Amino acid sequence: MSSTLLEVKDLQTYFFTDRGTVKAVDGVSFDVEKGETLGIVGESGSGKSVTAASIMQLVPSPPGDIVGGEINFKDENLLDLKMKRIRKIRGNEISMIFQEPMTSLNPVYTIGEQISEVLRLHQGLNKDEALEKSIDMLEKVGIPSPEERVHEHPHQLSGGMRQRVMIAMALACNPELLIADEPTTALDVTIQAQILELMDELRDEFNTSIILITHNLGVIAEVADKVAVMYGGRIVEQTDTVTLYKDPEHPYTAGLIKSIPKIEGSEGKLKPIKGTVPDPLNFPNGCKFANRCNYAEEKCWAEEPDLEEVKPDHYVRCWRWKELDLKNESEVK
Amino acid sequence: MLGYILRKTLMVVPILIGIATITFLLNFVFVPGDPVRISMGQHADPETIEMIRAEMGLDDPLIVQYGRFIGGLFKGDFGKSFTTRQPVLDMVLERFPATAKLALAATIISIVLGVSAGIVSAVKSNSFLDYFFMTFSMLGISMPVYWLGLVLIVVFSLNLDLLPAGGYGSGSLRYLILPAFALGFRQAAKVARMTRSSMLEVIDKDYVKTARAKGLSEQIVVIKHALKNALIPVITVIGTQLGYLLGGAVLTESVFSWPGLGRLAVNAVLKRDFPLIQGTVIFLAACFVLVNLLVDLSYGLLDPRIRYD
Repeated sequence: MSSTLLEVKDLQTYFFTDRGTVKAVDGVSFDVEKGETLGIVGESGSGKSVTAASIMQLVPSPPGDIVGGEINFKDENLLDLKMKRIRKIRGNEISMIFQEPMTSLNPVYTIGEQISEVLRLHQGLNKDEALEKSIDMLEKVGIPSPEERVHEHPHQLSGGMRQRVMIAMALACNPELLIADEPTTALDVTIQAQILELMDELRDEFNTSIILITHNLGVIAEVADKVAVMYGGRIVEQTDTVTLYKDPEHPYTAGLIKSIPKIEGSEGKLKPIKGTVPDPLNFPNGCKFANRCNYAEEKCWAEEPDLEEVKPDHYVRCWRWKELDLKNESEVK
Repeated sequence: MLGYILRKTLMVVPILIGIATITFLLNFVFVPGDPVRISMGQHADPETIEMIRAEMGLDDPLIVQYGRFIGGLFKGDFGKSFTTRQPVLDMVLERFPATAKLALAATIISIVLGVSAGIVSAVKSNSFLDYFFMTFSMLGISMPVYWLGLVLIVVFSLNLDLLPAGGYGSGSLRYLILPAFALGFRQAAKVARMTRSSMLEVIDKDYVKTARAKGLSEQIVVIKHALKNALIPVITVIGTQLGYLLGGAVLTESVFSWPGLGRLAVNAVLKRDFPLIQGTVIFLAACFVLVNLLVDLSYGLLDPRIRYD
């Protein structure tokens, strides 16, 4: 891991609605190295998808707007670039796959037409070359008889197949960064595993960096090198995957790990995190997790903690990380 | 696909017989007034009237007249006009080119204006342009076509003296412009509203986001990826209108003295020229059914999920 491919610095993406300003992403920073997989975990509404959309500048505007920060990709700040340059990067150097394979492909064009489209746009291939490359890509993502499939329409394919097609399309131009926004959430568990494995293989083959966005810690454990845990538009904990599971410092992270259903152990009950995410229009002044935290004390309600470095490359946003021993907590039962 | 076309075409036969029956009944049972009396004037002597009635077959029992009429249709015989004594089919076909020309011109205008205004309104929804186009189209739908026709005549013929106020001008394009606009504007308004609502439904779809994420320009995203998915309801509206217009635009043709089917039909009604009324109605119905068939078939071209079997 030598060179940094993407550096997000203090990103702020707000939504200006009639009811008030929603700070969907508020001061998020992280790096992605070449060939590395970063996992971003969080509940719905934590700002993880908006973070991804911000990198691609696909935040619907209005009402959304990136109001601050930097997104440095290689040697350019994406936020300073003209739309024309952004379009050259999209689908070519950074590409994205979405949660819903069933609806992410255009129903009125064939698979081949849709993959060819990126190739012709960014690599200037002609129709035949693009089709041939599309067939290659389909083969790479494990679609059987790609010569025939390439002429089929999305409705003729299963959900897992469609997500493979999305991946083929995203990787067609050999991008340096792939952003996968909940790529396996809508799929069956067995297909999930296959898709994750596929992404892992392709990362090794193409040396693509991946940002994997999910609410599922199990998915992160399988493929990510490091993890950022998001809550209420902020990163609350960030470290490498192994440390995160073994030694979480933030009560929210510990809660997420505890809420993963386990087969071993005597008790059959799930351990959810109580309560829900606070109203984003009306975030509390203090720590945003305070209302759901078992360890919250006066200070947590009054003032929001900063992201602190616990150990090299392990950051946590909690007033009480020094006192709490969450490691044991998470392993009991 | 071929089987589907064949079946649909065969379906036309009972539909047309049904329509022929209804027009026949409406004419003979519900329309007051004796066609012979009307064509002969008030002072014709009763004997002559009787003679003509017999000659036209109006004395026969209704069921016999009906049988003759339907039987004739199968042989392509629509009967003879009471007033001109010409075969009805010839009269209709003679007028049809003018009507078809007006209908096509109006439809083209409505597609160009309506689809583009609808796209802009949807893409920039709730912007000034959106409100502008939608107000305009509300106006277009609400404004009677004869009124718009008269305004166009006043402005472009009387005041500016740019275009002729009416007539066919033996097919010259200058004579077509005003009536086509008067008729097309209203259709454009409907098309614009349908395009807008249909586009709004697809513009937030995931595949449109995918298209943007590919790096495509906004025009390509909107036209290639969104519009094609939004087109089915729009085509339906356009097709229905075209089918309808091919039967003659009565008001527009009257305002601009356009020699089309609409005026032929109105005159037929005024003169109780039953065969001519039946002929024009059946012809209109046939056009309508045919255009609908074409619209049906276009769905399959637009959306591969639609299969005909």
